[in-house]
Amino acid sequence: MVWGFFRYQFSSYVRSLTFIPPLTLFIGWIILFYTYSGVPIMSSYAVTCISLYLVMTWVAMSVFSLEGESEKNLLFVQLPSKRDYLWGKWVVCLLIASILGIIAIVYPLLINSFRETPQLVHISQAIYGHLFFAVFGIIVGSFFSNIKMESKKFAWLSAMLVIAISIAQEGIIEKAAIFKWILLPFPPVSQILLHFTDEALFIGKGFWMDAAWVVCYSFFYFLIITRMFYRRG
Amino acid sequence: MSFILEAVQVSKEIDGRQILQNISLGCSSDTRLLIRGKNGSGKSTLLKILAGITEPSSGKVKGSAQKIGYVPEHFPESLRFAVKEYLLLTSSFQGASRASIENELAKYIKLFGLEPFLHTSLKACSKGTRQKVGIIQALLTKPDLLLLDEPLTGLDAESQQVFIQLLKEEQIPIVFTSHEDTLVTNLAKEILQIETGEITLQTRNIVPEKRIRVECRMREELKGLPVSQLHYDGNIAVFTVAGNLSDQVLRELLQKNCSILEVRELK
Repeated sequence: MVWGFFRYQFSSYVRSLTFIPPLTLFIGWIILFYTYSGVPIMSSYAVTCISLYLVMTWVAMSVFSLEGESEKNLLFVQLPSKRDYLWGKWVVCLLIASILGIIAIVYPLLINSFRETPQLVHISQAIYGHLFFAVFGIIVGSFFSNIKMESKKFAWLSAMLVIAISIAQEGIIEKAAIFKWILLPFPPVSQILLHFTDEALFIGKGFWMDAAWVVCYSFFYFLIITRMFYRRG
Repeated sequence: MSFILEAVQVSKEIDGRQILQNISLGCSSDTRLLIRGKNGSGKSTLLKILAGITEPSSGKVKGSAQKIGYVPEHFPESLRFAVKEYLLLTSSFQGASRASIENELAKYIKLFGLEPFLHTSLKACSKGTRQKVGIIQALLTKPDLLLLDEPLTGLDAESQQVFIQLLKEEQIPIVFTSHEDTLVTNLAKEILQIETGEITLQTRNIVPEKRIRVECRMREELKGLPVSQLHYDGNIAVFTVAGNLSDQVLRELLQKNCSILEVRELK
């Protein structure tokens, strides 16, 4: 990754001011959500994970639409490779996701919002959840930013539809099992949320199987987006 | 023959419309190729294919060029950086040290007279200033090949001359498009007619020129001499003179007690 390009992207994103709405909304929501104390640990973290998923899709779509055609063309020539362009954007998204994730995890601990004292297992689970929900958001955002669409409006609508379906995935599959396979390309949100339980938190074989699927899914989609990006160019 | 960049049977189709058809060309270390064609004939598209910005629908581009400098016809208007900040950032992408970039940058800034705009936002700069920034960002990468898409657009006459002179001196291989006769007559050695794909040699009366650097005590000593593109740096004067007049100019300068520091033939 080209460090200079990371600085270029980050400065450009900050100066575009497009970070203000999603970040304000997220931080505002976290403050509002933890107004009451004595809330359950994992259920609360599950809610902030979903919020991060939404916000990171928004952030990724903004980061991917920062440049006009002419600026993008120049960057493709200035950078050692087109891959650096894509990675530069993802690193900026990951940095923002890290900041938001830390706020979401640490804020309730600081103000002592939870009814029990969180254990290491809770915190580890929360970090894992927030990280991969942010990754799903970045995947959805960068996927629809790189797909050829008639209009930008459809890209946003499609991204929102994918988010809605992926969150409702478990309920849909419960109603009709056939959707288990049809919904396979959607982010495996339920494979993470399933383990966010406030009853006896247990990390067993089932958790590791789901985690492996989540990692493979993310890796696979980053490869697909990279290919799409090259083909679109 | 080994080319630093070669396009073989390149075609491009955009939205069902054939833009380029079977274009082949090779760039060597002394290439100065003008791409000529009507509006919408695919000149800019061909440059973008050579630059690796876009892929050809068929055919391929290959070669050993590691760094390519590209000057777009329209430099982006909405960049969120100041002039110097942008140039420093983009030239760092290739991993050059800050000190070497600053050195090179200072040279080009002075040459194009950009000192007053160094900390001005690119959004607030005029079209000509932005075009100069576009040229400098390409030169700063020390490219193996320069691809110029209507590079003189928006430049004033003086800057055009400075740029042409610079291209002659640096002797970087160039592929360019231009509707400006100045650039065509001064630079092009070959012309690619994009509609037919034919490359012809540019026929012109080539008068070899020499670039001379002298130290003079007084600027008046150069008055009346048949020189062009004259620049001063303190007591040092740099100018261009037609090859057949160079001996006469040098003699006169020596008679005026000027010191000849450098005489270089321009190709």
